[in-house]
Amino acid sequence: MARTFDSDRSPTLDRWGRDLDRSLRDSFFDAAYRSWFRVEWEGLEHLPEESGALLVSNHAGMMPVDGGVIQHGVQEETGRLVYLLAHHGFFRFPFVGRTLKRSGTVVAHPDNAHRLLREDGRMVLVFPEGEKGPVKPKSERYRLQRFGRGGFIETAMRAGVPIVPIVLMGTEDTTPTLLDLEIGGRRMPLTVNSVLFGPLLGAVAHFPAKIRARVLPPVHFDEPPERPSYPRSMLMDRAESIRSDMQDTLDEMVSARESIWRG
Amino acid sequence: MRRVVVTSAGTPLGLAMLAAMRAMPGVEQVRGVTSNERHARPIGEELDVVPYVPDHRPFAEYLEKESIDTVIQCGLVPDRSGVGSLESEADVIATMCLGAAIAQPGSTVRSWVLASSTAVYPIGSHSSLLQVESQELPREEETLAASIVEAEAYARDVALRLPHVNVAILRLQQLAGAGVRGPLAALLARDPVPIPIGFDATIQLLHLDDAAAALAFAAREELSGVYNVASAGLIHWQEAVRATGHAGFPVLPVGASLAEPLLERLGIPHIPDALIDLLRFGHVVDLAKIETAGWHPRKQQREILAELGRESRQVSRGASGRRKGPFRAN
Repeated sequence: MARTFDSDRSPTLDRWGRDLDRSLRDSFFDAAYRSWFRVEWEGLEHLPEESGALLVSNHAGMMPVDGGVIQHGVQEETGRLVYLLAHHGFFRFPFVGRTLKRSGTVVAHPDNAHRLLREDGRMVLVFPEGEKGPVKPKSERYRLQRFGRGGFIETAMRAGVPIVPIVLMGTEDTTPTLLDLEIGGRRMPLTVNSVLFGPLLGAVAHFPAKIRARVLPPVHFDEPPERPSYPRSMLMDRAESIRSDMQDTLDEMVSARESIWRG
Repeated sequence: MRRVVVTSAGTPLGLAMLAAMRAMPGVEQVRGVTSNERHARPIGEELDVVPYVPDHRPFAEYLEKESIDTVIQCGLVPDRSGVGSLESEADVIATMCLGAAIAQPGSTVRSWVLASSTAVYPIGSHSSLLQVESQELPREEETLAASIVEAEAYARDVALRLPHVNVAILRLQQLAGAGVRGPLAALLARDPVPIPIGFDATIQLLHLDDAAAALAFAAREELSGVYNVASAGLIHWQEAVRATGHAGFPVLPVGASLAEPLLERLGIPHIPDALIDLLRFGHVVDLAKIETAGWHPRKQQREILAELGRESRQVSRGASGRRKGPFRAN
């Protein structure tokens, strides 16, 4: 199957529209990655060298940088590409959708995830907390929100790939919450950044909190792949187990931290 | 030995099917049929004029008299047979009449191949990259997709009622090549080609030769079921424009709407309403099922586009005796 779609790729674009050449965008983000956030990794040996894997991470901060940190970091540290799944709404906007595609972001659709993982053997990053992570109340700082209904577990099982949890510490400190607001029934944290720099600049002007990333051992599944469905209760149990392990890891990382800025 | 009839045989797809089936070993007879006297004599062909709408009985009698065992229906969706626009409805009534003729007691038909259309699949930001035959289709009323779904559903009913008849529904991608241009190819044939600002959708074309080969394969193998058909590969819009050798012209990512006739007359690059979503979000189908069945496309996307570019430039030069200026549609 893959060979039919190999033949007509642009020299730099893959079938998902990802630009496989390094670009100015990568160079700019690299500067932020190395010098501003000073990202450090542990546990990279848990990432598979060749085959597909579903990476799951905690999600925090307004206009979160976690996706970019993981994509860029894994590529820099291991040479492997990571694809990110995002809500289809982003792709409706001119330039936004195209830029996302060029950087390896794909519409979050079960079929897309399955092809990336199983056919292409890629690593795919998802944030099971969804939008709940970035808008969580101040009181929930460093607390992982519920991992939905376990859909990501089913995605990994069906594709026959392991889940590799990645815990990020420091991303929520790049845009710390000052006040919990509610606008139109939706939670909208007011960040220190938006108070200091205004709503627009504040969304992108992140504080230089040091970010640490710890890759946990992969979670393998015994269930056979390609099943039409898996028991819902099992999916939720597995999701909660992974969430709990990630929470324990984040708690340990936060308590070992000397300062938000130095790590 | 097979005895084949091709309906809507005067269309470009129909004519290509006649040639493909005549070249196939094990085929004793290939007849081309049209229900319209005016289309009975395309260049190099003499077609049988056999009405089947609204009364299927003349066609049923024809099938029995000629001992036809294979019916290839080419006119279900006009733009997928090489005529008509993207907005044309599927010919549901013709499908019902053909099905009724095939189901008659004296019928010898054991294979019915329908050239359907990938227009059944949704186009939007929420769609997957590669659309598959088994996916659930959105239920919409009074759209082209709805009429295709209705026609396909009728054909599948016939397959259920007549287990001895293999019904193959081939969903063809937009046509190009050998002088045929579906709506997407027609846009790519222009110079310059409109490029929606801020988007670079993934597209896919089907060369007429590949379309005929796939339909012939389905007839020969007596396939059953629904299959996507396209030429090999996929390509992003801006790369597709480059492959034609034409210039690209950035335009706002909205359909031309009411201004379309005026823009067309003035030769100003624009995107027709019928194609705006496709050019924003793309439309590609998965070929895994038909490839597993044993058919593989021969043409590549860049090859089709290069051919399209050459043809359109030849037409442009030939029409005026000299190269046309920019902003003129072919």
